[in-house]
Amino acid sequence: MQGWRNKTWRRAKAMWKRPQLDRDLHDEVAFHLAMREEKNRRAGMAPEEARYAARRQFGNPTSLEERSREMWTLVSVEGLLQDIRLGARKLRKSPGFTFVAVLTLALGIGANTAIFSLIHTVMLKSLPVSNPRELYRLGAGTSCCVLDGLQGNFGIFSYSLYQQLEANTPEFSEMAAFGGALNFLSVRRAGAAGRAEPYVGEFVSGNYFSTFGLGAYSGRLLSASDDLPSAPPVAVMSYRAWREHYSLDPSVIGGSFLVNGHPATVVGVTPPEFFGETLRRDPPDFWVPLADEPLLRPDGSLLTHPELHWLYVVGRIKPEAKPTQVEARVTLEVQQWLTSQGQIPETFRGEIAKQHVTLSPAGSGVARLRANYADGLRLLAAASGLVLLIACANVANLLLAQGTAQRAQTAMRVALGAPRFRLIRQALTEGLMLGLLGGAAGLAVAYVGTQVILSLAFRGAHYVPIDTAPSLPVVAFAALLSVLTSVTFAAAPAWISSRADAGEALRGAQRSIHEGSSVPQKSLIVLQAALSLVLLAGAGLLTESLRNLESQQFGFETDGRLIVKVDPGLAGYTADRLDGLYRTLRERLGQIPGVESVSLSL
Amino acid sequence: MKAKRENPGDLLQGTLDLLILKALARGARHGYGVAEWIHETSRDILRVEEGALYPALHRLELRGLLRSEWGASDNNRRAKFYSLTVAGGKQLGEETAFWHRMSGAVARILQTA
Repeated sequence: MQGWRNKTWRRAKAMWKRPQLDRDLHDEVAFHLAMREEKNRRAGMAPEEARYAARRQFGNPTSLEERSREMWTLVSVEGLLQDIRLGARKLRKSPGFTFVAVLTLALGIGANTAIFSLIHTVMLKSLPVSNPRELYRLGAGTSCCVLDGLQGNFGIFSYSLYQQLEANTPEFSEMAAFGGALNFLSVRRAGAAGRAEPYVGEFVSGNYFSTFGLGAYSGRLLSASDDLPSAPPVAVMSYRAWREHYSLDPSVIGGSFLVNGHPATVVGVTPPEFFGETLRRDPPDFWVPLADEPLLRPDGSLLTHPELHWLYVVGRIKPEAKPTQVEARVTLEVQQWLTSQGQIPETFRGEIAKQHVTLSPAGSGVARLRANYADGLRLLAAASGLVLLIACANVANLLLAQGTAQRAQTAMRVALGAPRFRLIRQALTEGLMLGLLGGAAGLAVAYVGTQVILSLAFRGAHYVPIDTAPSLPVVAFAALLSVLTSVTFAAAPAWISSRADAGEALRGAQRSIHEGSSVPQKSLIVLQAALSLVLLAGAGLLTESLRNLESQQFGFETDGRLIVKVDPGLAGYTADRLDGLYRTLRERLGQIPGVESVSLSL
Repeated sequence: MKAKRENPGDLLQGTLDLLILKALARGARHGYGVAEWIHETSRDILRVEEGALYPALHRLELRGLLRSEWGASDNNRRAKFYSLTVAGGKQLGEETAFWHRMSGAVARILQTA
């Protein structure tokens, strides 16, 4: 074993100093020949005859050198290096072909990589929390946002029901609740002169952050003691809000703020990569305890209504608990709670037994985005797969044409004794280089493509927590796809081109007129045309749908009309003051130059 | 491995390696010198073909049993000299013992009537 390693090491070293090795072998043979020639001359032969006799006795020096050289070098690696060098030279010599092929592959591989990158983030990636696999959500689906009555498959819960579940399900080491919908909060620094800004806020239970196992980036996060009616109002800020709106000002931590007109203290900042438990556009800037909900939302508080279901529930299951058993238990608890509630009418009492709760894994967050975009992503994935197939067919065609044009060269190599395996390997290596180049360019295409898709899908959003920079899984995917693509488009042309018959091609190589495309080339063109037709048809239909949506008739003139949304509740306006407020608004807006008329609607 | 003798036949594989190792036991030689030494010392019975000699030399060098150096031959020509390494010396001893054992066994079998 040891000997084998030393041997390989010596061979590797020798390969490094290849020209020296060649010279040494040649000199050694030359020396031996010279000595033998001298011996023959001393024995009495004429000088010419001495040399011939020596050579004859020696045998074939070239084949001897070759055999020695083969021993000294790692033939397979050498061969591979030769193939790579030859491939690079060939690609350099036909820049037009290389450019077209790489561009085609870049588009194909880039499109697929972009879709994969989105699929990875939206559907596969875990939340940046500890032990995401222990997290489970009570309920599946995305029922939102305030429901009452029976749901069948319960996915959203009232505060009273959540408290019941939390107290009576020991299989969960922690159980947290958070609002299914986000709310606007008006936040202003206490004592600051500026305007209040609208921010996105989420109501969460006190143990929300500890359920996810998060620690504060600065300051502290919410705890159970903050979620009591008697506790002073607090809030946790997101890192992004801290950076974008407060320039990482350290005085924010522990600072006093006015939220919806009420004083509250910001106690800390979440870690930079945390965007909440749901992947959505415009994630929360602030997290506020559930107990403060009646304070911040006096009109329409949901906390105190046991029959209004508005909270999602997520918890951490103890390692020894089995999800199916927990499901059964939670279902039973929900049914019991419903029975104990007075509001369910008699006629629906029978339905209570049909209510159940499904546990769904929550390691990658609430599946809101997934549910909304899964179909779109799948469609895009199929389309980009077709694009890649077309690209492969295209490049395969180009390679076939190139193989035909280089028939004479291939025939020469066959005549010189190149094994077929070698020819195929060289063609495959060249294809692999093309594929990897296309993959590298495809990463750039994917980066741009992902950004374009996101900006189209989330138009108007301030921030989407999807990172478009190529991550390791994305790069690995691109590399793997490049290799697979290379094999797909290079294998058949390599095999076909290596079938060159030495004599036939050399004779015919004098002619510069070819007989036209071969059958493989024609069938590739047909394949491309067919796939392109499918894509064109799909694109045409989608464009038509889009046009229909855009030119939809609303029954009124939409040109030049603007909608202004106002939420006076955030500024502390109570119902009695609203009438005066709206009258004033209407007057003031009408006075803006350029405004023709103003009206109000609910 | 081919060697011309009075009764043509195959020597055991690896015998050439053994002969080469022995040839270098007394000091460094170049390839031609090894061939000549074997030819002379075997009293013209064994003649090593170059086609077998050089591959064997290179193989032994790859295995680390020989080391090589470029130097000047007696008539001031540039030649590659091989010499034994420590491992080569040990291998020579082992192979010699093995050869004696083998040839002794064969001789004993041939002696029985």
